[in-house]
Amino acid sequence: MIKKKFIATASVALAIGGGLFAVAPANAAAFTGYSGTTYSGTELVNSSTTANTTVDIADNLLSSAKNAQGRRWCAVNQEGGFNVIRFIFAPNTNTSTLGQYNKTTDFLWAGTAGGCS
Amino acid sequence: MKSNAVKMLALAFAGATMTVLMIGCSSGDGTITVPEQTRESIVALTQTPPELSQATFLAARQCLQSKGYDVPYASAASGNQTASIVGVAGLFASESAATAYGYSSTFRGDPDPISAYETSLPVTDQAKFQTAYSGDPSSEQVSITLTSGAKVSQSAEGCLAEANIAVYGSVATGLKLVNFVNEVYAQVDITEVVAVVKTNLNAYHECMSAAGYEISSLNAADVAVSKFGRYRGAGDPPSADEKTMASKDAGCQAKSGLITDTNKSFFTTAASWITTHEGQIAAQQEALTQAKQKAQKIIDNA
Repeated sequence: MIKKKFIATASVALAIGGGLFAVAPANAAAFTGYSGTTYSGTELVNSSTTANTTVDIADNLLSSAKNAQGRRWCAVNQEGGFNVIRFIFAPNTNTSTLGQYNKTTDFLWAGTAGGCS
Repeated sequence: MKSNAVKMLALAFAGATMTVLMIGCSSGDGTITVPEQTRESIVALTQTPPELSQATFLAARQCLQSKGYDVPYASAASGNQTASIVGVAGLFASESAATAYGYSSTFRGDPDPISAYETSLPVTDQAKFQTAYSGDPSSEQVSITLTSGAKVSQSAEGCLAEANIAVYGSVATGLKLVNFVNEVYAQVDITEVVAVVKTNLNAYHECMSAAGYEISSLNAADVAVSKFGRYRGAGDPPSADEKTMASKDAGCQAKSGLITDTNKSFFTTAASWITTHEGQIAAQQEALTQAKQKAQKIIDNA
């Protein structure tokens, strides 16, 4: 469990878009998470569940993920006894790095678990 | 019925925004005060309206049908109508959203309709369908980088991209909107928020107990599942009993200070970031407004 506080500097742009590149697709209707950035390292999770459920993964390793589902997945930390959503993987998106939340995730919520709707 | 469900969720979303306007807490770090309009925009941008996901599905479905895939109509409404902007599970964004939307834990967890259709196809056809939906495996991706350093991408080709363009105007605009909540989460001082929650927790529990609900920590969603089960499909409203519980829950959260104080914490901690990015936030709010208008037209014409 990581409780380190990261402070984003105001000089960094809110969203810098426009980059175009190719990326291999995730498995059909699955969420796949990796320990390394850019989908490298150990495959921590490859799940097609649509249940509202907690999907446990090795703590503090998740660094990239492909969400091929039309539902959200959430990266969650336990902080002071409470579950806190730190990053939402939007439907049908690839996240090549979680940035400041690399290697901080305790577990994932699938479906609408925990308000990750 | 399906249309009513989407409209109900849209009303809940609007209600949530209005309630936040009424919170009226003063914020700032002593020198910076976040304007009320900007606060309203931030809350709206973190609570993705359900009509956007529904319209994206309908536009993608139309595209897929033109390519020979008879994807059936379904409710794909999803979003983040009730969650607190600080990401603490169990905290509602507002009383009105809680009453209208209920607990996300009582949804059945059905697969989204595109995934359900894909998995119904023979395995040999699924790769071809994926290409139609989200482009060739080597297709170009549109990428954005968030303040946190996170990099998120989505296919620039296929029916999904066409649907995103139909609803959001561009794939990049859609990506920015659905990831705005991650921008907000990156600004949360979770240590301070947790302290605020702990300060108000006893008052919340006492209030819930007086209302007839025995809650530990912030586990009302678990209690709701044990009482009502997982009985709802995507877009379906909560039962009367669940509405009653959610309403009392959110009322107790408001009365105890959980909602107002955690929001106040966020707007204090993030004041500098918000001020610096005010122009971009306003631009995203405008993009959201336009997307909602386009989405409603797509839903109305379906």
